[in-house]
Amino acid sequence: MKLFVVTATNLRDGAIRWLGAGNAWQASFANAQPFDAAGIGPALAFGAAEILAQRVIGVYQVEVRRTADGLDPLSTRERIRAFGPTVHPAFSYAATSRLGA
Amino acid sequence: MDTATQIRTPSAAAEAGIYHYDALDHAFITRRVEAFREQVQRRLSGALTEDAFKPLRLMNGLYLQLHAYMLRVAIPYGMLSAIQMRKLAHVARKYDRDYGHFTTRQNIQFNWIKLEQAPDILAELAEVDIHAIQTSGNCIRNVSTDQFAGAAADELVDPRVYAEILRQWSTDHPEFLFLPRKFKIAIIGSPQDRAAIKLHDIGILTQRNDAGEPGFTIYVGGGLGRTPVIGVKIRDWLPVGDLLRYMEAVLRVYNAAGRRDNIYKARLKILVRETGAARFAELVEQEFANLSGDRFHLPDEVVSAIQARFGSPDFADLPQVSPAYQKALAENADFARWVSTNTHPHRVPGYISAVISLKPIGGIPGDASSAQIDRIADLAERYSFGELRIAHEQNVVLAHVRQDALFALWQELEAPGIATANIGLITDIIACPGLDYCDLANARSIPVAQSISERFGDLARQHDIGALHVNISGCINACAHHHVGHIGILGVDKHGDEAYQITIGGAADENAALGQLLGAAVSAEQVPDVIEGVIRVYLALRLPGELFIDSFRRVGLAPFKREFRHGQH
Repeated sequence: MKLFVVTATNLRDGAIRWLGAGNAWQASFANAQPFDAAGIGPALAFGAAEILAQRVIGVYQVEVRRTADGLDPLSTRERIRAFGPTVHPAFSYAATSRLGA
Repeated sequence: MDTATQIRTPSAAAEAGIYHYDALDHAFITRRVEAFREQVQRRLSGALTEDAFKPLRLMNGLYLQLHAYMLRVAIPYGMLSAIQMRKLAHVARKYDRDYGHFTTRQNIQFNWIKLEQAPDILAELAEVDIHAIQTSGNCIRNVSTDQFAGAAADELVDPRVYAEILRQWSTDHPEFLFLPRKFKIAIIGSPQDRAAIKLHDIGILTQRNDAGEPGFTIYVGGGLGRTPVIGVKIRDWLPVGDLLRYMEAVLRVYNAAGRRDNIYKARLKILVRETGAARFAELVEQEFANLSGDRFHLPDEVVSAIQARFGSPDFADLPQVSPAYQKALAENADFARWVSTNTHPHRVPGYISAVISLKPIGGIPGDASSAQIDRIADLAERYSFGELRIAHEQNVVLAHVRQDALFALWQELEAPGIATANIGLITDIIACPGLDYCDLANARSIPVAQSISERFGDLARQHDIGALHVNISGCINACAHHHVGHIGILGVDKHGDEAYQITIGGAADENAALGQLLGAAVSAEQVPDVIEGVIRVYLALRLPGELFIDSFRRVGLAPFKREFRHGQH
């Protein structure tokens, strides 16, 4: 079964957002809510409404898989978006969240 | 000294060689900042949709990249003052993550910008005459030039005044803000092309006629990206007075006839190719004839007035050769090695141009921390009349250093990590941000550059290999000019995985050439091994003193291809 998460960009600061439980935007990919093929449509519809509400831009779905460590995007591009640039370890999203950014 | 006291208002006497804005320039960029501030407020309030706002933010250099907004700040023809450089460090420190990335268009990019802070950043930059206007969009982009302009011993004409004239002419030009596609101009004044003019929409070679008068040879239709093309000459000689008239003619023909139905066929190079260079030249000449009259004439007094707004270094009267410099060269092999790659002969006796490498072994090409940027600004003030340049190879140049001060300068580069003696060598890699940052990229560039840099990091080995340019782009848009690298590496998406096509034999200089494909794409891990094979073949077949590119031109692709195939089995 294919699994997806919904991502967007925060309008004000350009930070990456992930749609989490209860339709709340999350800064961390670890808090992204997975959707199956049936659930992704309403999730994207919520995202479209959030664009109109001027909270986020660029809403789209990302295909993921379950691993022992949690969800993992399939593509390299989305892995970099989820976990941070591979060349600046200090800027990984785990590191920045530890720093309170 | 705190940041606030470091950032001062520029004065005409403070930095030599920099064009100083007049009241009109100041008023223009201040108005642009305030207009953009209002546009951002309207976007945040919802009065502007993203579709309506996007072209407005792009006109002000603000992109949306993979992780955040990215601000590309213009450094006109790569020249800036120490004061401006410090302001860039300040922006990196206050608004970004304490670093900036210098680009192949001689600009700087900040990768972690917040939209709501962008107007404040632009306002701060405007305080020191810096802006981000026309660093994006389908308009005439930052004019680029030789990083040794006005300093090089081989220079025929200083092209900076003409680069500035082109900047003024193209900025906010009402007719050319919505071209079919982006448009790039490069201008040089030396027979040795250090600005890749044949790879630009318009390339301009400034030289002198038999009477000693300056004038221009014009190339058009060069470009890289999806369809790499070497530009063709359409005008042997253009008098200075006709420069803007001819530019208008080229742009008008392109604006009218360039394709707008297909983004991949919209660049001037496609129009020139489809029209034919000879016919395109005729169309330009016809338009040029129609533009007769005073309106487009560039009078000598205007050139002189703009020239006068450039500061002039107060060069000392020095002997051609400095005994202290010669002594340091003789006594310190490391210094001598650095000088052999990181300097360029100066036109004034007793001076030399120094290149500060932003390519530390295993580092990120073109990145500099705010501390390094500040440090370089300090060094520019103390060693080079407060003036510096960004090279399109993503390094920094102090153009006017006294030979007898060069050893002291070199010693000061070590602590901030900018003393690597690798300019023009295999680890002086040009790399785009790639998939780590860029929304358009298919593959990462920086980690591949780092792995090559580490593999060939031994300086003695690098110097033995000699001049060898490695360019790595993360997608076909070719921001790192991979087609014209002696070794070019293109990141591609191969069934969802990153893969890299390797070409060899490209060149960006006056003998510009496109690289030839070595074979099928390889993985990131294989890239250093493939390059190792290329180097092995070169070292085995080179003649005494022969550079890589010359060996390639002598023997062709075949032996390298054989080695590549052998390595794949």
